[in-house]
Amino acid sequence: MIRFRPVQLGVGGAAECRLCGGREAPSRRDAVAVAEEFSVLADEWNAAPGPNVLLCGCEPFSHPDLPEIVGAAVAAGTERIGLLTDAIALGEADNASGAIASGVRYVEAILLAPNAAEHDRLSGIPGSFDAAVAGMEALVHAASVAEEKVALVGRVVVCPHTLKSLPEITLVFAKASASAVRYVVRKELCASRLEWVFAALDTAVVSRMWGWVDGVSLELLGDRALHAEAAVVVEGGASS
Amino acid sequence: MSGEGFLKVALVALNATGYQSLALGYIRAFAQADPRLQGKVGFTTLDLSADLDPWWLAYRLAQLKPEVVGISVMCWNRCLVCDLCSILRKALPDVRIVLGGPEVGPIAEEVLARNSALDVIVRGEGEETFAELLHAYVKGTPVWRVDGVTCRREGGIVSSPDRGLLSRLDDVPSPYLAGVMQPNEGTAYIETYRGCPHSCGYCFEGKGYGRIRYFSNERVEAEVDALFSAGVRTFSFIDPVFNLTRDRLVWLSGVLAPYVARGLRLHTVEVDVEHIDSTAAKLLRAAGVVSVETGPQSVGPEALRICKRAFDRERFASGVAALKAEGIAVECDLIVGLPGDHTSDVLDGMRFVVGLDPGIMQMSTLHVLPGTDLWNRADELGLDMMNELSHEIVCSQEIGFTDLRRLEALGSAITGVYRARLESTT
Repeated sequence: MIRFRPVQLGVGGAAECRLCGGREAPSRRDAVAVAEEFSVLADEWNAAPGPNVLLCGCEPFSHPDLPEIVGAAVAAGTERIGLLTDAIALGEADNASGAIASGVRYVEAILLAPNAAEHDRLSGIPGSFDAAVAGMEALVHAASVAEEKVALVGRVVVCPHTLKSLPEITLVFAKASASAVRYVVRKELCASRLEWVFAALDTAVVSRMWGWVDGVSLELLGDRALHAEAAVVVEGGASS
Repeated sequence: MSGEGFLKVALVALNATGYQSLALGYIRAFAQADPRLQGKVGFTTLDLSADLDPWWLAYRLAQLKPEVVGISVMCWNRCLVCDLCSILRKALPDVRIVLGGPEVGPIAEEVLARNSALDVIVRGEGEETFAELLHAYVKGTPVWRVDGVTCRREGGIVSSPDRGLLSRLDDVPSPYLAGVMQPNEGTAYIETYRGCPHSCGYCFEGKGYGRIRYFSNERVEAEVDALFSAGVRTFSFIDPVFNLTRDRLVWLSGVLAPYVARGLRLHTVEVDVEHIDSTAAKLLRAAGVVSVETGPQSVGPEALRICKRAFDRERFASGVAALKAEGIAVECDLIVGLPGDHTSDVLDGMRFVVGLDPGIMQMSTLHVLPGTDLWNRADELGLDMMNELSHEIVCSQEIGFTDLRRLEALGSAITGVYRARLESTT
């Protein structure tokens, strides 16, 4: 419904648990090439509202030219600039307020577990859970101070290691004032284990958030098909 | 009575924060202008916010030692008013508690039967009825003889005949011109007519008035000048349709334009967007309008039929485009849970509105308001709502409880992402 076009800033971002996803060595694209992509995208964008981009691939805050990249997106007329991030850097220095000031209005924050011990084990980064939660809080606070509307959306890659924590992870996002959670279900996950995804979706709704499910057919979602973008968007394309 | 023949009246409105009740302003201005009440009735108006504690409200009222408390009841303060009245009855056993407003007038007998703390409900247009009621209190004559009230009598509940509508709206003094209300920046309203040309099944905007009655042009012009002279630079019009006719829009635009040149801005006027072309949009801009509110409420054919609403996708989109071209932000409203709407219709409505990129998108769940066609036909239409609370719909025939809650959450998330954007590029 509101499409975001993914724009790769590089590779090696920590979107999923290290026990499942093979992690590529981090690398970053040239900022000039990214800026050119914004211009092309803006010219090609043919359906309101937009254009909207989601900067992803590598951890955005690890890209040394992130401010210039966001500036190029603004200059290209991008309406919504989003970041897919582990949220750690959002809590550092003035990153949250700086991102908002430069034009970021949408953040998808990744969590792998609902507590520090498990999240840090799955991410392989000590202290990453507390830092991510602090980062989300910093973003919400900075948006409030700046009096800007910024959408915070949670993101979980659903694998055997995150599956049974999904409802609790959802509550962490709810406490952080996220408006939605995106559950990206890995292909190899057995359909019989979707009950945990369903529980997470229901947890989201009763927490006054929305849950999006990627990677599960409408048939398998049954009466929860509304949570699949395909059921909402119709025209196709990424939606939030 | 606090003295021989003198009645202390407290008027209470519980509004969104920062807002004032124009209705109470009218009620007070009309009563104060009644020669029969002059020197016999004193008024205090409490324009307070609806997020206050009822105990604190009762405490504040008790300090005034009123003989009569009149409270305006709207859908957003209904529960708070009920709590307040129950406390007041015990705190001030002799006080007469009078309610009025769209939330209680159409179901007056039911409300009185449910809440023993209440004495009288003023039904319909309140100015004349409330003044007559006060006159009855002052004279000591029976309240049930006042047209337009529902009250208690000999252990029962009785309703007097409906009162006819005021034939001349100008008979109601302007609260601003009479000094009854001091207008606030950003939240002041002006009303130029009563009634609504539409009869949407879910809406009580027309309040059963049946026909449109206008305040005089001179009165409206004087109110605009009064607000501007009081330093107010942003206000709004409460009219159900600001662009009621082209002639009226031309007139209003001409009235407002000189003030616009000196900094006046109008926000959130309601418009019939399907009747806006580039000329009308230019007139709105000349009138200082920076934002408008409109439907479509639903795009589902069956819901539109049941709710007696016309909707033309192309005309609607054309109107929104014309407004955007003039730099006017458009708030498009959708109602979730209208009878006749399936989940797919609600999604279609969301896609339609998002695709228009209007600037502001608002989704709300259906509240079946007393006095509306949907209220009267709720059983027939299979609408299940919370009668004792906010009248919010629990489920419809077409959308069950669970899917309704899902649509609320989805709508909230979509709205949140939609509004999170760089304003300069819209």
